[in-house]
Amino acid sequence: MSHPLAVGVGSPHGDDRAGWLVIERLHELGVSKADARIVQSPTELCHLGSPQRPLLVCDAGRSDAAAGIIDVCTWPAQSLPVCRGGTHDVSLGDALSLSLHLGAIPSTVAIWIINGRDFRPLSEPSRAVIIAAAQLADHLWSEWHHA
Amino acid sequence: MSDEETIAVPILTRVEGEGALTIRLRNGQLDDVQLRIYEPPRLFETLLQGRPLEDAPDITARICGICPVAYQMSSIHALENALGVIVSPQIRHLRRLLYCGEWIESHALHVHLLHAPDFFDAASGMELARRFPDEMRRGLRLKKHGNELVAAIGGRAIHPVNVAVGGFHRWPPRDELRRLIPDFEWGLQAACEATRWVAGFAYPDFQSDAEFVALSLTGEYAMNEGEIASSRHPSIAVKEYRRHFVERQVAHSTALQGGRTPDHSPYLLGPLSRINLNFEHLLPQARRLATEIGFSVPCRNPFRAAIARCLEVVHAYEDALRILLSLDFSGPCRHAYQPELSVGRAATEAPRGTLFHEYEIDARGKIVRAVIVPPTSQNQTQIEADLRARLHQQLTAGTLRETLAVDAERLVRSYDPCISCATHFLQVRWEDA
Repeated sequence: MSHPLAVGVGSPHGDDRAGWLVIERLHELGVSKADARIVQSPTELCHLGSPQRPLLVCDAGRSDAAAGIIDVCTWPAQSLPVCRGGTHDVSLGDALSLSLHLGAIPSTVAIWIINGRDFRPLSEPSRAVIIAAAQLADHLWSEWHHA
Repeated sequence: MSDEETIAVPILTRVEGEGALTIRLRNGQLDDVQLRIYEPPRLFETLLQGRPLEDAPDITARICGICPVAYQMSSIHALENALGVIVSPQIRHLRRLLYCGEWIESHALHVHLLHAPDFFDAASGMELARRFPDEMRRGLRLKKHGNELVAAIGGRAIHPVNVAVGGFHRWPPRDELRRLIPDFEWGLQAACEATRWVAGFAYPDFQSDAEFVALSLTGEYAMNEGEIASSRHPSIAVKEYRRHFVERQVAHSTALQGGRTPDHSPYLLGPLSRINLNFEHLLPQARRLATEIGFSVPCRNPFRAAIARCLEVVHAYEDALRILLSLDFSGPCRHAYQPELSVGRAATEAPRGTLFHEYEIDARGKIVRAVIVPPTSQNQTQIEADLRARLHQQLTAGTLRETLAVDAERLVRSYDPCISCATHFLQVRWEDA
């Protein structure tokens, strides 16, 4: 089965783990570790992707939305959801632009943002984020399965 | 009537934070130049007052997303100085390894994404990536290595959480660090290639008369400790820092400006000063490479700080590999201490230069007073002095004013100023009197 490369951006700290949780659930569903990757910095997209293969990025966000609310957009046609603060040294938007210029990603990328609230070091992800990540992974799996 | 003209760069681009540049001309001659930092004061020193001393490393790390390790290192060393804690060689080595990670990620980012575009008339790192994809990919891999090393030791790449007063909260997983060795062996060679690439840039001809200031230490290229050395004055102990260096408020900047006592004379911190003062302590590959590319010290051209930064990346890879290959986590990862009323001071070498911290603590371990002097606030006075000299040179040569603004902004960028933690787009605004 051919499906997009899925990349989860995040860290092991609280709701910042959201992107990783999606990828971990995809692994449980049988997606290989080569097809669903976790990274800490969005600049790693420059080394993971290719222009030929569809790409899907899952990341955590911090906005006024409640924890567990999922935003989705198609970059660059749609701008990324506005977040307050961030844990990346180079923003996801800048990293995507750079990767596009380097010919490392396709010209459109599906971005899924799970909103979180608690990003304290080494804290557990909130229940709402865990549920949202599982639902998103199941949705992606089902979409790929029926494609 | 005099003919006045103002050249304004209202937003400096590809620097960390928010600043601007104003150049005033009178009768075609330079009247004044101001590096204006308008980002609001962030009041970290006040924020620390009354808090447990253990909070200082994590709070001060938030000052910068690019060099959080520097703030953690200076704060813990200053607090340990106050507490009388002397850490074990194992802890000392691990801190140095952590700092190597930050130097690699910060320098690789600045050289490739922020500074290199200037030498190709490119508006951004994105544009340069189209023209030099292999070089930019290599630069990003170097940056990634630095981030991975910081994450492996510190728990995460940005604002690490494992650093503690007295040591570390825990020893990092040995396997996770050893796993980095093949990447770092590749990275050392890649950093040498990046240095050769950067050494080939066309550098403007400009000589600064700056006094170079950096930490200096017998036997190694100073990072976490040393005396404060100078190209003009005798070295001083870090505890004497505030007798020799002061900050003052100027009307055009929300950041304090550093200067040397008694006349507030400018001085330069950062890679160029470090390499000029400590060249003999560079590790062998970095030193050999400097000779190969014809980089000799003292180097007085601030634009060539890009080469100094690259040589420091090579040095940091060599140093990191040396430590990674001989990891020793024997003994406790953290020393105990008993707070008492005391004052401690320390300086370490942030990627952008010497970062000084001073703390007064009480017997309950609460911070009574904190003083943080970042390298960029100290460099501002020198940047303005160099801008004056450079602009005078260019005005004498009849340079067009459009070129003046672009070149002045490039000169500012060559110091890698970290005005705070944001970035960056350019709008040049001209005001004619």
